[in-house]
Amino acid sequence: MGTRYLGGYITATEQTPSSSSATGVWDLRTHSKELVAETWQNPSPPGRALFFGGYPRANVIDFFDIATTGNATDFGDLSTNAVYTGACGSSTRAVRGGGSADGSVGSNMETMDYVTIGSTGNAQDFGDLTTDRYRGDDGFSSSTRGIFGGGINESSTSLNVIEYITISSTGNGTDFGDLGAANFDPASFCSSTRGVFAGGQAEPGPSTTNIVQYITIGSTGNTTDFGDLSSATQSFAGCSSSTRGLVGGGSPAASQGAGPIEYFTIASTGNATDFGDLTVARSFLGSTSSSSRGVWGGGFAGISTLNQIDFVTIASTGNASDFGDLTVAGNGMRATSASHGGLQ
Amino acid sequence: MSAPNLVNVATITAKSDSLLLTGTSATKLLENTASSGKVIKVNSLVVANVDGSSAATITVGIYPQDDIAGTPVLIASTISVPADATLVVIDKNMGYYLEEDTSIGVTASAANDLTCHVTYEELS
Repeated sequence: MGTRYLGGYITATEQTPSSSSATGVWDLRTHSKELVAETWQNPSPPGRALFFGGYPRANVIDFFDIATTGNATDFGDLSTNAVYTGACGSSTRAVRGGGSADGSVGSNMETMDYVTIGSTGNAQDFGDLTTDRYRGDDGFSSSTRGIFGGGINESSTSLNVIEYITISSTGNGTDFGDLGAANFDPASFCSSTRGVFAGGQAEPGPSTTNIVQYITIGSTGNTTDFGDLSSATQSFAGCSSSTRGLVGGGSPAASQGAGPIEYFTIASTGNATDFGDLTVARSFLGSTSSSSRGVWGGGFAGISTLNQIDFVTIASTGNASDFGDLTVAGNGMRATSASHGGLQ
Repeated sequence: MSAPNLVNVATITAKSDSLLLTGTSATKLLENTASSGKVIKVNSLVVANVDGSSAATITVGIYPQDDIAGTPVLIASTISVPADATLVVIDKNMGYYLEEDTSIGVTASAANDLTCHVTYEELS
């Protein structure tokens, strides 16, 4: 027997709309009601950027429209506090993977959770990574596959492990290939087919490196040498259009916090070229992009934790401009967007 | 010719039209041309999202001229249609009379995600 549901139409089973799914036939009354209740699936604003976690931001998620300027707005919350996590996503779903609950190695997590980008709701459980890790790469993705690489595990061992997830599922991570060497605090960026890991602190040593390596996202192979950063850098963050990857900020081995931005042509395997500078030199920041604009937010500068968001036009070169502020200052957050370079 | 008096119509023709919105600009769904001698009673207008994963928005406007000319008055503005869902914009409880030299246009936020289906009666 059919069941009359909220929309007033007959279906075989009663339907309940949610922010991620609302299969069924609905009337405008239902749309309005569920929209207010935030249980209605909306299109992902194409320019929406999300910043996950960080210290002392804990479980905060911020969002803003990359195409504009202005301050970020509070989203929902992560299911757990997460510092030095990874983030990736499709145009509709953003995933947080790994990290540390309090920023220390003893609080590493293998957990992941996700949000529906078009909503402003709380994160929901995804699956688990194959290993606990924090201080891995930023995280990057194609429209279907998310990648997490490197980091430090709970035994304080640096990892060369790369793993992938299928973003549209909520399954566990699967082993990909390996980085050329165990590495933590690299930056990363991607096109829809190629993911790039830059710099970081490589083992054995550890020592900050200028090595850049890449993977083919659709494969499960090991990394291949790319070009080099102009200098050894760690604790920085990357973003990209479909063709150009940018890395900004970070720390050389000898000092804390730097402001340079460099760029790579992703389809090549060439060295980095100078782009410009961030408005404030910093490390442990987050970064993401639209097809045309790259943004960096938060970070650590000397003894200060920052809330500044900077932006650049990816296709140009030049110094970054002030965008606005995150809702809470912090460092060690990660970011993704509904229109990053892997989705174009 | 003016629109007919409803107590004295000679012909009532039942019709349906469907449309896949292949672009993101306003597209004509239904029109009543100038001097048609008809009035069109729109019984239903439903929008289906045929994309399996992404929501898309629909905007429905009544245009003051046929062929969606002029500035529309919106009866639904950027309403989100979830993936694999169908939204009823007009049903028989709120039918709409489309008079001579007016039209209905629809605008999607994403190409090839939304189909529009309208049932109506031409009275003359």
